Amino acid sequence: MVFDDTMIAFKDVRKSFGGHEVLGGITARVRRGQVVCLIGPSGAGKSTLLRCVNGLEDYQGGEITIDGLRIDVSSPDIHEVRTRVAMVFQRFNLFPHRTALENVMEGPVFVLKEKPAEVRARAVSLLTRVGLSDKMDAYPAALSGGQQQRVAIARALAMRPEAILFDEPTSALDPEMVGEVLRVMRSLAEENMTMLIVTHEIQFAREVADWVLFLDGGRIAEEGPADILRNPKNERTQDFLRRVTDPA
Amino acid sequence: MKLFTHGAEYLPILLNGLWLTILVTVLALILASALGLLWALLRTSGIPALATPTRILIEFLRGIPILVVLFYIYFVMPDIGIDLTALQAGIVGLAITYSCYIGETFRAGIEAVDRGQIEAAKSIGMDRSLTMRRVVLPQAFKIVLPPYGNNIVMLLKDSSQVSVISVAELSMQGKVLASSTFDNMTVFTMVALLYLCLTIPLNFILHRVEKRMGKA
Repeated sequence: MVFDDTMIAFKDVRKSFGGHEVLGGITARVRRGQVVCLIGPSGAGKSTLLRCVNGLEDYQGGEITIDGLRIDVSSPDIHEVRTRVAMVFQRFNLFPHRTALENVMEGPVFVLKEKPAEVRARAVSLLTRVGLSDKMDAYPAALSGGQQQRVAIARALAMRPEAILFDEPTSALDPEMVGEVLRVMRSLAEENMTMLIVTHEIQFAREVADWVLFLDGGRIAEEGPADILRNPKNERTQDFLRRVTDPA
Repeated sequence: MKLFTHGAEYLPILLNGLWLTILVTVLALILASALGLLWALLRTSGIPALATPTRILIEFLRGIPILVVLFYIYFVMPDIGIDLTALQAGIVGLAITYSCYIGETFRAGIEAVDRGQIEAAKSIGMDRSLTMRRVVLPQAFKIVLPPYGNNIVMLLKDSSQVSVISVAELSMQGKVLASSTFDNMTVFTMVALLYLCLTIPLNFILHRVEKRMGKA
C-alpha cells in the first residue's frame, strides 16, 4: 500500500435501489485531520454515501476503505470498524431511557469494555466541553434539540473515534439552536478531528471545510477547496447555492 | 335469610382453589413469557430460517382453543410417552397458548422501537445481542407494558380453563361446592369476588409500574 494520509477512501462507489441509481460511481477521499463537507440537493445521495461509510447501508459496486480496511456490512468485523468512526445523526438518536451521562458512557463501557470509573471522568469532561455540565443527569426528553445534539456529539467523542460522520446535524434543530451545535463542531475542526459532514449550512461549510464535494444525482458534480462555494464552476452547483443562500 | 350464612364454611375450600389458581397463573406466566420472548426474538431475528417456522407455529397454535390444547396435552401426550399430572399439563397448556399471545405482544413492542435507536447502537459498534439487551428491549418493555399487563390479566382469568382436566383451582372448587350444597348464589358470588381480589390489585400494580416507567 502506498503511504499516504488517506483516512476514508471511496473508489467508484455504486449503489442502486431497485433500478434507481442512488450512487453512480463516487471516487473521493478524506485525509486524516481533514474536514470534508458533502453538499447538494436532497436526493443527491449525500446521506446514503455517508451511511455507507460505517455500514448502516450497503453498497453494490466499488469500495470504501477506512485506514485501508474495506467496509463490508456482511463482515463480522463491521462492529469493530464502527467503533473507529462515530456518527452524529440528524435526529440525534439519543437513548431515551438513559441520562445524558449514561448515553455518553454507553459505548466505551459496554462496547469497548473500558473501566466505568475512567469512562465516567471522560464523559463528564466531554459533556462539560459541549457546555452541558449542568445536564449530566437529565434524560433526553428533558433536553432541547440543540442540547440533545451536543450530547450526541459527546457520545461520539467518547468512543475516541478516528473520524466522525455528521448526517445533517443541524437540520432538525430550531434556528436559534443551530449556532450552539456548529460552535462545537467548529472547535472539533480546529483540533483537527477528521470529519465528514453532510450539511446545508453553506456559511459553516465555507468556514470549516478543507474540501467540499458537491453531489448531484449520485455523482460528484464539482469538488474543491471551500472556495468553490464562492465561485462554483458547475451550473448545478451555482443554481443550488443560489437557492440555498438566497431562498427569496 | 340463609344467603351467605355459610360463607365462612366455604371459604377455606375456596381458598384452596385460589391458591392453585395463583400457582397455575404464576408458573404459566413465567413459562409463557420466556417462550414468548424466544418467539419474539426469533421472529425479529431477520433470519428467515428462524422467523418463518416461528410464525407458522404461532399461527397454528393461536388457531386452537385452549381447551383443546389442554385435552391434547393431558390425554394425548401420554400415548407418546409424555405423562404429565393434571396440574403440570394445565400449566404447560396455558403457557404454550399464552406464549403465542405474549410473543406477538413482545414482537410488536420490539418492532415499535425507533429504527434510529438501532442505528445509533450500531454506530457505536454494538453487535446484535448487545443492541437488543441495552437498547431495544429496555425500550420495548416500556412499550409492551400495557398490552402485556392485559395478557397477564387474561391469563389469570383463563387459568379457570384448566378445571376441564380436573385441576381443582378456584372455579372448579366453586363448581364442586355449589353442586354439593346447592347454594349457588353464595358460592359463585364468592368465587367471583375472589377472582376480583386478584385482578383488581394486579391491575393496580400494573398501572403503577406503567406510570413509573413512563417517567424515565
